[in-house]
Amino acid sequence: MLLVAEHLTKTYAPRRGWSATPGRPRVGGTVRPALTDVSLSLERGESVGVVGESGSGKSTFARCLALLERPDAGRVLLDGIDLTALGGGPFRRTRRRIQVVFQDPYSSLNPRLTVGSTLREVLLVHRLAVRDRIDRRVHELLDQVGLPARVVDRYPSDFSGGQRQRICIARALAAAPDVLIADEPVSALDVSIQAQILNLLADLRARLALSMIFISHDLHVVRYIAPKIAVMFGGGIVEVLPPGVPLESARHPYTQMLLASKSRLEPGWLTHVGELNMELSASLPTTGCPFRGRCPHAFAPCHDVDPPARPIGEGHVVACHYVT
Amino acid sequence: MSVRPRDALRVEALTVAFRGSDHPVIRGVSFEIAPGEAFGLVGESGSGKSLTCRAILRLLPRGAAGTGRVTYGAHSLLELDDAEMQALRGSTIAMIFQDPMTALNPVLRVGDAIAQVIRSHEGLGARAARTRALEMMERVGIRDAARRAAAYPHEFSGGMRQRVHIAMALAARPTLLLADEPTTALDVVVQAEILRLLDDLRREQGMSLLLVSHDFRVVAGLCDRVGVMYAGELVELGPTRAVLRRPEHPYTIGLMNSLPEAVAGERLRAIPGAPPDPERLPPGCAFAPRCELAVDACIAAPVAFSQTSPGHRSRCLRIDRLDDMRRSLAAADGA
Repeated sequence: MLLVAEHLTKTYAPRRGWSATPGRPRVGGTVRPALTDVSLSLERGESVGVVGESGSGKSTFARCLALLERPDAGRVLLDGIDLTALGGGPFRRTRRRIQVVFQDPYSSLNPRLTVGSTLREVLLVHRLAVRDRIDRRVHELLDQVGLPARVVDRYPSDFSGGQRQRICIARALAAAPDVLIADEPVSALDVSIQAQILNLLADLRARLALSMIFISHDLHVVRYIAPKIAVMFGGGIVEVLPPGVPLESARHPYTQMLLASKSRLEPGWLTHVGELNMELSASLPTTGCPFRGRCPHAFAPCHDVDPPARPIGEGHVVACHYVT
Repeated sequence: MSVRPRDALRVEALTVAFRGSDHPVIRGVSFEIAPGEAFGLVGESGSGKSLTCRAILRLLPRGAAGTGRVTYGAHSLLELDDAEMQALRGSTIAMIFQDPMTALNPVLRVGDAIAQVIRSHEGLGARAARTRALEMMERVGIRDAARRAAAYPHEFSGGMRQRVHIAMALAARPTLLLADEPTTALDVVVQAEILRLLDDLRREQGMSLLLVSHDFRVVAGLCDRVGVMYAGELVELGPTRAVLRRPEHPYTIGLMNSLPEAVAGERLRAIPGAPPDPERLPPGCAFAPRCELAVDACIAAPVAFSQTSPGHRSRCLRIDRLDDMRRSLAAADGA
């Protein structure tokens, strides 16, 4: 296994003082973890999609995987090396191998660095190219993401959102990563530009044999990039769909709810979507299954026990009391 | 101010330009929304769809001016004086915005914010307005309204904030609602909830709806008719069913081909390039530079609407050549 996440848990401390929000979800006086016991593995050359809504913990998961955030518990193993146990130089050198492309290409580029300097900086810091080869490598990277060589002296403000996202992808590739984590890389872009970036990521994955973790709130976008899908809800993975299993075979009620929007290009699809059954309170239940407030199948055990993840087929894992 | 409860909105040759520029950002947009009808405007950022909404309500940014004709019932909206327009705004024609966090006053409790709208438009007393505010909150699906009315906007999730925003917009019982990307910041399931709420309220109150979105899937859910905007002009207009089943403009087809669920399993046929700079529009069809079917005639002069089926019009000279572009869509449709 190239990358293994084991039992990752992360809790953000509640804010104190007058801004503390009364009625925040709490478990025994503490807040609900943003990430609860999440495990996932990625083989070299494999792509895994992570789908979930805002607040599902998918971005926290991405940040913990890339060690941008230290998990409270659990380990991240890259080629068997425990990143959470490293510090200092070894940590920085190893972490380079996991790179992230973020959602907002407007805030994730330094506005005062030209495209060329942005990429050169990565190559220099990580000593990934000797000095007289650096410019060549920069041009190679730009070519890989479909930008012409003449953009090296331009600043981020000269570019549209889609082009900026290409620069962000080039910057991630500059670090020669083993794993590329793309956290909602297209949701800030217009629909026609989204397709360009999705195609680019799919091409790069094939051409460079990249291993990728692709995160989105849109199940169909995720499926386009990744054959294997992990569905997150309330800080945990509620279902893993292995490659080759069609979306329609999903068993977790939440995944099925996401699929209810399958034919959203059908005129009047809104009237065909079943009961949405939203728990209108913003907070998730603090005990038992986090989804039970919105679940059409919730029954007694869901209130008491957080359902454990269990296999129901080859590589197909579901965390639900109702699914048999 | 009395407007008959059921009126049609007519937008005729609406043009919006910024001061000091010879290049209008909205170019001769015309459409009509029948009483109780839901009309969708689809287009990407910069296409002018939001400015169209703002021009109707006369809420254009400083330096922009709208010309053309916009009528709602007996009112010619672009000709009303400011006081008359202000009286219509919010009470007869209301608008909801994409980002409910910036549309709500962060230091007002949400119940007070809704009550304030009711007091200013209906002249109700404080107590009666509060009661109505609670009713509105319940109506938009906020349970336990009495307790939650005391909360501030930041204490609500995005979906709940949008509900509060909708409650405010509908508090004065408008007959026309303009909704600018009301669900864009929301997750798929919450999005469906909000859209269904809008649809229910529209049907209950016989309200007309102008729904603006960059996402075809949003307007497909509840709009009777749809207009597709590109570079400040309508390029296709027709019944939603007809446009989705058989899009008649390459840009519309491109938008649909860009959606992973539309082209099941295939490589996405992304539209190459990016929308044009309004200051440097090509002389002919604005989409021609990105269009795989463009011929000399497309580049030479503006393209007029032609009708392809009853009520379905498209600005395209290559309508008879669209089948190949549509093929991948048809494959997904049959699946």
